[in-house]
Order: sequence, then structure tokens, then C-alpha cells
Amino acid sequence: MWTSSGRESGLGSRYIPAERGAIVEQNEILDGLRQAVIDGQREVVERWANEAIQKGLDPLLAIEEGLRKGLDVVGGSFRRGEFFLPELLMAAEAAKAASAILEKELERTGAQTPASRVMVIGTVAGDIHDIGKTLVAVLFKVAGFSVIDLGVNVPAERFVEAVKEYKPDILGLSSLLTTTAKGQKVVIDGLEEAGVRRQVKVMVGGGAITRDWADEIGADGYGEDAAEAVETGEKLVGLL
Amino acid sequence: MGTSASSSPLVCGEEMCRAIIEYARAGHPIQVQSGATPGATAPATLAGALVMQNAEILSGMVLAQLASPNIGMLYGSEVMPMDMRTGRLAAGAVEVGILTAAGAQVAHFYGFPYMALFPMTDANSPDQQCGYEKGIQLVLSVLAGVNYCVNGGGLEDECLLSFEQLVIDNEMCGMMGRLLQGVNVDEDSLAVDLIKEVGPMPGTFLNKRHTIDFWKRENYIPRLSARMSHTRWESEGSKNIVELAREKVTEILKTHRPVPLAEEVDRELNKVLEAVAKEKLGN
Repeated sequence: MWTSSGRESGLGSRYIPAERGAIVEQNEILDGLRQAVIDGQREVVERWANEAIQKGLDPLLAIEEGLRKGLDVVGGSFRRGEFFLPELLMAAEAAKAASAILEKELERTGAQTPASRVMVIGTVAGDIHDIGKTLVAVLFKVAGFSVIDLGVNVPAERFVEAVKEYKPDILGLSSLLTTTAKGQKVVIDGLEEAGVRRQVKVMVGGGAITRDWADEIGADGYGEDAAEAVETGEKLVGLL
Repeated sequence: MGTSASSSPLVCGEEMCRAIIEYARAGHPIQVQSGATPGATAPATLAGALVMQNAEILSGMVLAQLASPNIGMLYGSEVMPMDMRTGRLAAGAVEVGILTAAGAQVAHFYGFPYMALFPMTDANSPDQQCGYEKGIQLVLSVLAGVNYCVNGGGLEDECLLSFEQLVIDNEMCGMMGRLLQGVNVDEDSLAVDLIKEVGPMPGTFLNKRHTIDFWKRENYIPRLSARMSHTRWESEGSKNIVELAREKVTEILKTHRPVPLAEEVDRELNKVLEAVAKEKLGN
């Protein structure tokens, strides 16, 4: 009989296996989840997620030891120049798909969904450029944030609504064009008027944006590129 | 000339379409452009990017022709691949040169003149990286027969403008002008009789009328590029090309008098601007 709290196997104390066979199976599932995320294989990771649910594995454990660990590996490989943006995007999409399945199971069992930092992001009104914004969203997801992407050409009122609705830790505003950059100021002013400016950290970025501009309009943070944006964001919410 | 650009992938947006129709009906020739990003808004393969860009540009051109049959058109592209290490557009990449040359060939296949961006660099200063990136793209563009290009003087993916670089780009263009002339072949230039006349060493061409007549035509005389011995160079202050360009910039800014718009034209333009402002802003 396996009686330890599970800490010996390095799995944390949440899952207490009834027998050795269950440990092996559990490891197989966690390895499967992790590797499928690293490989960016959405269908494979979804299968592992369903397998995890079928075998009664704690969904929270599956998310943290399987998906999260997989994303950590991918993030490290990216920083070392072994993985590139496409690998990152595919891994994030795979993890997101499996996450949806596992979180539904958590809801069903009435267990607590994992708390994570929330980010709302979008490209400002009049601007349809989205690649930079999408990259930033992916990197924040890989860093463990829950990201709500409002898309492009988002009216200022929608951003303000989203802050009230989702109560994010960070609001990200993207603008590629000098002609639409002032839309970022419009959003910040809108947040002030609605009385919710203090509730969220506002970050701005994009090809037309500079640190000076960010300071001038009263943003809380700015990133030169996607990677710097994540670092700044983590500092803003106290993770770094 | 009216400009219009598609939104990749595969969209000719409402503004683009309305602009094309307005230009065509007003009788303006129209530039139809695609600015796809291989790897992001176009396939990562250069061939795939060319296919997609072609579809977008031809769609805009069909619209222009429907609005005004036989209106003049320019096939244009501003394609830069994404560097997957950072997400930045690789403006100075040799791939940009390749895509520009290929784009020109596709445009000419259909019988259209071709427009591209002036050769670009990722360098942040007018340094060697800037020199080789722009130089390589420039030769490719010129040999492929790009008909029209815009924006000299750029650095850092066209996010910075450098007057020194503008002057240096102008020098490169001078060299390209000479490149386009190629090798002139005729009785005079073949110079067979002259060669026989001068004969073997110690014969010389230096004091011949032929040399006086032709050396200036056959050689581009640089406005800026320095050619001198190391000793002389040191005695003149060891200036590199950027410093020489800076002196030129200062001189131009100090002495050049631009030719102003004719008064009537200026007045007429102001009237147009006021009318539009009244219509759009109501004041």
C-alpha cells in the first residue's frame, strides 16, 4: 500500500494515490500532458486531459504539473533561442484547449479553479493591427496569466466595460499607428471617468509607442517588445 | 497617384476599396499594394507569400478597372518577414531583397510597373550593417527592374530618419545609376583600333583623346565616398563616411533654397483643404 502524502514522489500533497499502479499511471498522464504542450499538439493534449478526468486525476494537479510545467519548459527553450514564436503559440493554444477541459471538470466537481493573474488586451479603436498584441497575449499566457483578448479596433468604452467585468490585474493597449496612439489616452481617461483607473495596471505598447508617450499619458507600464512587456507586467503585479 | 493597401491575409478592406473607386473615378493612377508579413500574415515560404500578395493586389486592380477601365495602375509590395526570435519585422533581411526582386518579376509578367520600399536596414545607426543590408537590397532591386521606390534615409526598420543616411543613400543611388548603364558596346567603346595603336607596354592610354572623351561617361564620380591614402586620410581628420555625410547635411541645410509652390497653386490647395475641413469637421 502506498501511504505517503505524495511528497516523496515530488508531486505535492494534493493527490494521495491508493496504490503504486496509480502513481505510475498518474505520472504517465502528467508526462503526456507536459510533452504534448511542449510539442504544441492540441489534439494529443486534449486526449490526455480527458484521460486524466477518466482516471480520476485531480484536474488542478493536471493543470499545474502537466500544462503549467509544459509551458515553463517552452518558455525556457524560447529564452535560450531553441524555440521560436510559432512553437510558443502552438504550445499556448494546446495548453489553452486542455485547460478548458480540465477547468470544466473542476467546476463540475465544485472544486476551486486555480487563481491566476488576469489580463485584458486589445488593439485600440481605428487600428486593425494585431500581430504584436497577439504575441504579447501568448507570452502572458505562457507566463501563467489568464488572458482575455478583445481583438482589434476596440472602442474605448469596451475596454472600460471589460475592466469592470473581468477585473483584470493588467489592461494592455496596443497601437501600431501614430494616428491611433491617442486612443490609448482616451481609454485611460475613460477609466478615470468611470472611477476604475486605480483598479488596474495599464500597459501600452506597439510600433508607434515610446516610453515617453507611456509616461505622458499616465500608463503604468511599457514594453519595447513582447518579452519586455511580460517582464514589466510581472513586476507590476508583484510577481517579480 | 492614389495609394491603397490590402490587409493581409486576403482582405481588401472597405477603406481600401472606397479609395480605389474614388481615385479611379477621379482619373488618378492607382498604386495597389500588399504589405504581408511572411510567417505571420502570409506563409513563411517566400513563394507562398508571393502567391498571396499577388491575389490581394490583383483583386484591388480588378476593382480599379471596374471603376474606370484602363486607369493606370502600379503593382506594389512592402513585404518583410517576421524574425521569429522576437516578433520584429526583419526589414534589412536579404529575404526582403529577394522578395522585392521576385515581386518585380511577377508585376512585369502582368505588364505592370512595380513599386517597392527603398532598401531598408535593421541597424540603429548608419554603420556597416546598414551599409551591407541596404547595399544588397539595392542591387537586387535595381537588377530586377523595380520601377519606383519610396523613402530613403531610414534606419531601424524605417522607424528612424537620418539625414546623414539620406545623403549616403543618395550616393548609393548614384552608383546604381551607373550600374543601370551597364557596359556600353559600340565601335568607339570597343576601342580595337586604339588598342592596336597604343600597342604593348610601355604604351599608355592616359594621354589619348579617347580617354579624355570617355572616362567621365564611363565612371561614376562619387559625391561623398572617400578615395585617398591612409596618410592623407589621417591628416584630413580621419573622417568616416558618416562624418563626411554630416558635413554635407550641414552644408545643404545652410545653403539650399527650396523652390516654393507657385502662389496660385498654394492658394488653390488651401481652398481645397478648407473645403474638406468644413465638410468633415463642420467649421
